[in-house]
Formats: sequence, structure tokens, C-alpha cells
Amino acid sequence: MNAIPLVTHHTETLFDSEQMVLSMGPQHPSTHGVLRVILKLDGERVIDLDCDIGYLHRGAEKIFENRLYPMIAPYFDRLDYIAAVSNGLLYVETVEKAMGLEIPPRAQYLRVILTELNRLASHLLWLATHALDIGGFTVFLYAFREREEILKIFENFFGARLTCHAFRIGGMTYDAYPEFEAQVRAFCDLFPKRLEEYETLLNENRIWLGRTVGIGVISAEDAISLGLTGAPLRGSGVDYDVRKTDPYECYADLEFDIPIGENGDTFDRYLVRMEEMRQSRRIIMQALDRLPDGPVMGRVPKVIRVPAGEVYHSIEAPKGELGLYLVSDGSTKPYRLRMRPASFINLAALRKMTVGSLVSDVVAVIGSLDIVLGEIDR
Amino acid sequence: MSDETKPAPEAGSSGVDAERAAKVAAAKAKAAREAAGESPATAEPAPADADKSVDAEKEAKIAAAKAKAAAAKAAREAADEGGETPKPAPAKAPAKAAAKAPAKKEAAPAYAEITGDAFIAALRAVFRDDIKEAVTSNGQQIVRVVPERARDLLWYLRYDAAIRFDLLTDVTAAHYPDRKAFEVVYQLYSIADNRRLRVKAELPEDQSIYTVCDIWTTANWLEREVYDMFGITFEGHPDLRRILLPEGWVGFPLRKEYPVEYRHNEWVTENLNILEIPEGADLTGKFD
Repeated sequence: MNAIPLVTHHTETLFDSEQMVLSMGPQHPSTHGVLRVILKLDGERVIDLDCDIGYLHRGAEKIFENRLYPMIAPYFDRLDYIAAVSNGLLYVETVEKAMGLEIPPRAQYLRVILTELNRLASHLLWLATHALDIGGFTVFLYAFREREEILKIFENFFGARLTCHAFRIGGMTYDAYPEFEAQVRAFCDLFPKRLEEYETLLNENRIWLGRTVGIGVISAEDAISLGLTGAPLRGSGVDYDVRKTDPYECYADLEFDIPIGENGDTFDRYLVRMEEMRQSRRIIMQALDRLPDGPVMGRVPKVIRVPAGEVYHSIEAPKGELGLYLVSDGSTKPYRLRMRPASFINLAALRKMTVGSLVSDVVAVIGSLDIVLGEIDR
Repeated sequence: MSDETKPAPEAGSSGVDAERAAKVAAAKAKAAREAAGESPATAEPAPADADKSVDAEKEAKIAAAKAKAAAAKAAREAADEGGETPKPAPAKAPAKAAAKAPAKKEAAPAYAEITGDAFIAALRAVFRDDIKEAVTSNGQQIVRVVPERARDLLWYLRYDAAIRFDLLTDVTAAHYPDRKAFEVVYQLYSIADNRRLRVKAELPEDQSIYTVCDIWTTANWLEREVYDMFGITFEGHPDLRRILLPEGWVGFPLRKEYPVEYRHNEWVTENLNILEIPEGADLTGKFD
């Protein structure tokens, strides 16, 4: 990759030049946060591209090394703030795995329900903003309507809409509130009809198809080499989902399918995520049916001390494989806690996907990668 | 009509346009098929059918769940009468507890030598003394290799080994100042065999390691981040510059000697237009 100078200017002279360096972002609605994309353009055509990230860097991994284990958990909600529940799950599961803790079954099922609801919320936000970027304003409003229902459930459960936090090392802080099951069921009953509404708006939409079909194509081979995970990898036809390959919580007991794309373009990634939403709903319904009684907190020592050693644990977050690598020296703080950021690695594919296409396609592809900058920059 | 919806097609790209139109048509047909409920390409169950079967199944499941809950309740009440604390009877729990029991014991070593694994034995046969040890921690396999051969080993694991590790999940490092060394860590995954492997190379602080960018493209950004945070140089990397921190930043934050609360005053005054920093401000405090 050739380094592009981080200066925005016309190359050489203004009028004779054929190439232009254009800075898109960091304050740009289509970059989904503080992402700056530096484009080298020949007219409308992208010749080269570089991403400038780190605007949201808070040194999370450094902070982790200086915090006690229970104190670290809330930081994870602020990484991928669109899917705070998934991030929280990753952290507590990693520590539980390293300590060999056992989680009560009720807590496992509740965790799965909440995580899948969060996947729906995250995918709805993706759909809304992706459609908005490409010009589908109606879908934006519709998807936010359903996301609001999920956020209401979250607000009742967690007391927060965005930085949801109820998972503790060993289980959950509190049990579900009385109307939780009824509210989730009501949402699940409504949701398939709403999904059909979105599809009515998009699947036959000439502009939508023109902007997504054959755009940002990535082959399965390239996708694997680029380390893509989540919908971008499955859209290229690779069957890889951590919930199936390495089941955590109670996913092994639940039935669901992993949708796979064919062409690896923006449209297939869209289809994969739409089907994932249906499957998430299926998981939630099953988990609700089987929700066992019992405590939600297991036996946990008063002082959390992880035995010396190391562990890598990963979950299927809405954005892709979210991994956590914990090295412990046996003390009350992690020696090293490294997060494998799914968005960060997926964003690295942007260059491969867009060089040679038009500027407007860059917007479509950023949308279809479904990145969140809080997780990229950490 | 179609031209209006397209973003300014260039002259001479009519071939591309035709191709695009064909793709749009194909996608439309696909979408229509899906809507009609015929076996869609990307999803196994058609949504409409799935709903019906789910509804029918749901009744049965609810009944089953209710029966289960009632049984659990009865069991709990019986237990209460007996003066015991209630304990739910999860299907998986006993097996899990048995499996995890050894990990809880103090005596269990952090790292256990791998024995009797054919794949690891084959690796040892190829790389001999260059593989320093092959151990497990928390049931996960780790291969320690000398840094000079790390790239060879990774190449071998990707292209030549009996199990091909095609996905490089992560590249990271950890700093061990007492040993004056870094550990560069590669997390590998094999999609076909659903197996994970961790390769670690202990690298003295003043040495560099060879890049794996050409083996996996994903290593490009991951190695840049390791360089950014630890200052480890990856030889042969095409574009080794800082990625998260701004250019011109001094120091490497994830090295252990880098203080957790710290401000590089010169950099701040120069880049953030904060001109005055109070005299005697102690910015190197610790949290605990």
C-alpha cells in the first residue's frame, strides 16, 4: 500500500491536474462516526484510498491493565456502543472461561435473549443508516421505529438505552423484570411483518439495486485473506459463525441457520443481514420458550483473581468475530487484555473493495461493512 | 429511465452498464423468488413457511416449558421441605462441572505440555528445535517458536500443513520488561477443520520480526497497530506507520514502562493549541 500524504490539496496545479486528493470525514454523515477516508480521485473514479482512524482512541487496552477485573466490564459498553450487550458478554465470558466459573442456566438464556435483541438493534441501525446513505429515507424512519421498541426493553432491563450493562462475572446482576417476557414476545410477533415492509421498500427498488448489486465485490479467497468475519465474510459464501463453530452460552441447544451469500457484493451482505435478523428472532423465541427458572448469579469468589495462564475467547458479535485475548499473571488485574476488533479488521477491506469504483460506491461499501468507530479506535 | 438512477456513467463504459443491468435483473429475479416463498438462495426456510411451523411448534413448546417449570417448582418445594437450598437441574451442568473441576485446583499448572497430538508432533518433526515448546493453557494450544522462524512456521501452517490455518484472526503482542522481551502472538483458525492455534514468538526488545503481510492481507493493519502500541518493527512491511495514534506521537503506550496517566506536554502544546500548562502539574500519577 502506498502511503498517501495526510494533506488535503489538489495535486500540483488546480486546473491542469487530473488527480485530486479528497478528504471524506471525519465529520461526514456517511462515514458513521469519526472516520476519515482519504480518497485519491481521477474524476469520480477512486484510484487509491486510505483510512485515517484513531480519533476516538482512548487507550482502552492500557486502561484495562490497570483496573481490577470487575472494574473493566463497563469500559466494554463504550467500545462498540451500538452493540454494548455483545461486548459486555464477551468480557464476562472470557473471564469466566479463564476462571472456570459455571453460569446458572437461567442467566445463560437471558444473556442469549438480550444479546440477540442487541443484534437486532445493531442490524436495524445498520439497515437504517445504510439505506439513508444510499437515499432510502423511509427505511431509516421505519427501522428506527423498531429499534426504539428494543431500546425500550433495554431501558427497562438495564436502565440504559445505549451503554447497557447487566452482565457480571459469574452471571447477571439482576433478573428480568416481570413484563420482560411479554414485551419481548410482543416484539417478536410484530417483527416479521416489519421486516417484510423493509424488503418491500428495498428488494424491488431500482435505485437500491443499482447502488448495491455488484458493488464492493469481494471474493471468498480475498475475504479470508483479509480476515473478514461476520456478514462481510458470509456474504462471500464462507460458512463461518462462531455461534456454530464454537458455541458459547446455550447456543448449542438452540436451532438456527447461518445465511450465506453468493456474490460477495453489497446486495448479498444486505440479504445475509436481513436473514440474520429472522434467525435472531427465531433464537429469541426458542430461548423464551425454554427459559428455565432459578438463580441468575453463580458462585463467584469475593475477589476476582484469574489463575495464571492465557485464554482467547471469541463471540459472534453483530459486526463479526469479536475476540478477547487475556493473559493473566494470577493477580487481580489482567497482565494483557487484547480485543480483536471486528470492525477494525473489516474496515481494512475497504480499500480492496472500492479501488476502481466510484466515490458514491465508497459510501455504499462503508455502509455495508457496518463499522462502529468506538470499537475500531478503542 | 435507467440512466437517471445511475451515478453519471462515463463514456465508453456501456459494457459495464450492460453488465450491471444484467446483474440488477438477476438480483430482482432472486428477490422476487424469495418473496414468492420458493427456496431462496441465501436462506434455508422461507419466512412464511417458517412462521407457520413455528406457530404450531410453539404451542407444544410452551406446554412443554410449562410442564418443566411446574416439575422444577415441585422439586424445589420438596427440597425446601427437606431444608436444602434449591438448586436448578440444568441438563448440561454436571458434565460441565466435571470438565472444569481440574482447572479450579491450585495445583494445575498454567501451561501444560502437549503430548499425543499428531499434528503438533508433525510440526515438531518439520521445525525441530525451532519450536521451543508446544503447550496448552485453558485447553487452547500454543506453539512457541524462535522469532527468526516465525514467518516460516506461519507460511507452513497456511499453505503446507496437514491442517491449513487459513484465517489469521489476530496479531498482537505483550511486553515483558523483566525478560526485556515482547511476545508476538498470532491467533490462527482453520475454517475447514474448525481448529484454533496460537503461535507465539518471544522477541528481544532490540530485535525486529519479519512481516506476514503477504501471507494474510489482514496482517497489514494488525501489524501496524502492534508497531503503534509496542514499537515492534516488522521487516518488509509495505506501510509501517502509526495507525491509531497521530503521527509524531512519542513513545509506545502498551509498553509496561509507559505510564497510564501521562501527557506529552510538548506534543499537546504543538498540536492541540493548548499553550499553557500549569507549573508543577503532576501528570504521571497512578490509579492505585
